[in-house]
Amino acid sequence: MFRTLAHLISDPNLQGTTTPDAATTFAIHPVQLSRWLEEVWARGGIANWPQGSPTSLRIDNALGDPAITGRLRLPDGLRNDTLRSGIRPTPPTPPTIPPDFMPSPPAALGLDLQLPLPWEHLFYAYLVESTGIVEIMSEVVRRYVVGETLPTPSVDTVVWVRATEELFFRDPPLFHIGGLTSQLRPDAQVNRRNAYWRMFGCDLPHPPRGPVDGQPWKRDTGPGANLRFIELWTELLRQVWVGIENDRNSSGANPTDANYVGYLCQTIGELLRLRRRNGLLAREEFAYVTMLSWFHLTVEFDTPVVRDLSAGAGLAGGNPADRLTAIGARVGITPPRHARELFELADLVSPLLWFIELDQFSAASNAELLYRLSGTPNPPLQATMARIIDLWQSATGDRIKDLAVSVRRSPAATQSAQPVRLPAPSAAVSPSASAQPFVTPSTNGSVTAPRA
Amino acid sequence: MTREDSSLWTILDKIAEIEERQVAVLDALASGQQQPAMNAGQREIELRFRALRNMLGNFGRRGEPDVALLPVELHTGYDHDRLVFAAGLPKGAHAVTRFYRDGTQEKTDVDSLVGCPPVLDNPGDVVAVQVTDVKGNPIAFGLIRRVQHGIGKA
Repeated sequence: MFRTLAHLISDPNLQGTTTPDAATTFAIHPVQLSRWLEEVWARGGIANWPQGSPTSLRIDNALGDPAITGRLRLPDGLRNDTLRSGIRPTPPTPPTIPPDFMPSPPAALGLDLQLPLPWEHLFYAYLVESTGIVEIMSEVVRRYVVGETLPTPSVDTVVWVRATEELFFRDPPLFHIGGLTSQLRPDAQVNRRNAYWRMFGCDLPHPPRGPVDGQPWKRDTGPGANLRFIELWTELLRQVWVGIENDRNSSGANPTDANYVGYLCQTIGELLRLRRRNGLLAREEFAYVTMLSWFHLTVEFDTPVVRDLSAGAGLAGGNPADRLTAIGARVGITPPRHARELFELADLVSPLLWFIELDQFSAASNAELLYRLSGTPNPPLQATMARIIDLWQSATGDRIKDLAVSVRRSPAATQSAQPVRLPAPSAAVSPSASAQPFVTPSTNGSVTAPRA
Repeated sequence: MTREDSSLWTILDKIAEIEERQVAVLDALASGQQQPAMNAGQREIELRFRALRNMLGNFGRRGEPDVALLPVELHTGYDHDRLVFAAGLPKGAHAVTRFYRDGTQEKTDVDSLVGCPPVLDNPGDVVAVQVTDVKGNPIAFGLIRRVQHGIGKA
């Protein structure tokens, strides 16, 4: 969400022609950002955009129930009057620092679109959090606010620290849509793990910080955890790879099965929608992708905090994982060595899963788009899937491309759906991480994280 | 709608889809390609996928910009509105389909758009537009930004 805001500030028409303005985004007062999130939520999230061709699609909204945003939002009179964010719809050039407050209409930046601004899929939050970024950045903020063990921050970094603490490490304003901690679920990190467990049936690869007794995020979830998600997802990647491999076959057998790929997409969509009935998990998803996008934006460019911690990776060719690793070294936490893949995967998988949930690939003719070249040199969907397969294979150690053939010959080689084999528990958030491949099950909650 | 009507529409949809695929195969054979090109429905899905990726702040891989969104502004004034294609229309544009908030749609030939950049007067409560080529294939998708202007009488 905040990455989209940074894009909108520098390029309100989203043409991708300018670098996102992270500096101005971080300079906006946290109360304005908090209200902007409230405004974005109130407009509604991802939905099927109108299509010209006749379609039998039946899924119109990916949040479980389109009414959920309207029923949980602040009343219009409050939101549009005294609780406006006041973020200018057309930011001045050059940007004003600090950005001002625009009290009267028109609508704030991003809210002037005729269709609602979408936000990332919950899997984006899961993948980005798997890099250990929350642990690293929270330690950076903690050290900045309690002492002087880090290099003296610039004013811009002080502003970032204040906004980060206000937005994500204290209780949000009462009745705010992001207010997900309470006396009943007081630990935000456990709450996030609970959402990941229910939606994807998998844990983060690293243990939670502080004293956490067992795995409380799995308690009382009942039958409501998608334990088959990773199994189905991996099978989808395998089948798509079979399709990509055989796409140009002009003779001989072609094991690609568009109906099966469509069936897998349909099943994954149904599985995810089952957890979203009547808008369940919608608030959680919005709050968590928002939080992770803030930290992702922080390490996406050489932002003030990155520069102050001498963690720059350059404007061109720079990589969030490199910056995160350098920042982690400052606070004694090593991110997993697959952080690079996880950041890129998060960007690629998020729109794909939204489309799967919106039933766009359930028909065999549409599922073909995931692997066919269709006579074009570099079709975006096929290229996206090929990249996802490469990155997933590299991040998890699952030999998608090899197994695409071997599993078909040997049904006994099918894999267990649980637990997910994303970065090993010892590899993340641990200075003494070993370079073992991911073969051990998660021990989240049953070990204490080593701290520097 | 009765059950029989619903079945009939499903059958008609299927027939239309088969016809589209046959045309695609014949086109491919005529152009010497081994594979049929995407049909209009597939192109729409691909275009919206790219547009969603842009909306989430992604524009393809590093060094390979992929922009599917067409900048379209809805200038609202005191007595009439204007739909302005701020960056012009893409090459090969033949028609523009306007999608309204109530689910209806309307197609207009690009020849009827006036000015530079092209403008459409009083477009109604339009939420998105799609530009198609002469074969009816979608080539650009535009999400509309409201811009308040004190537009007087034309």
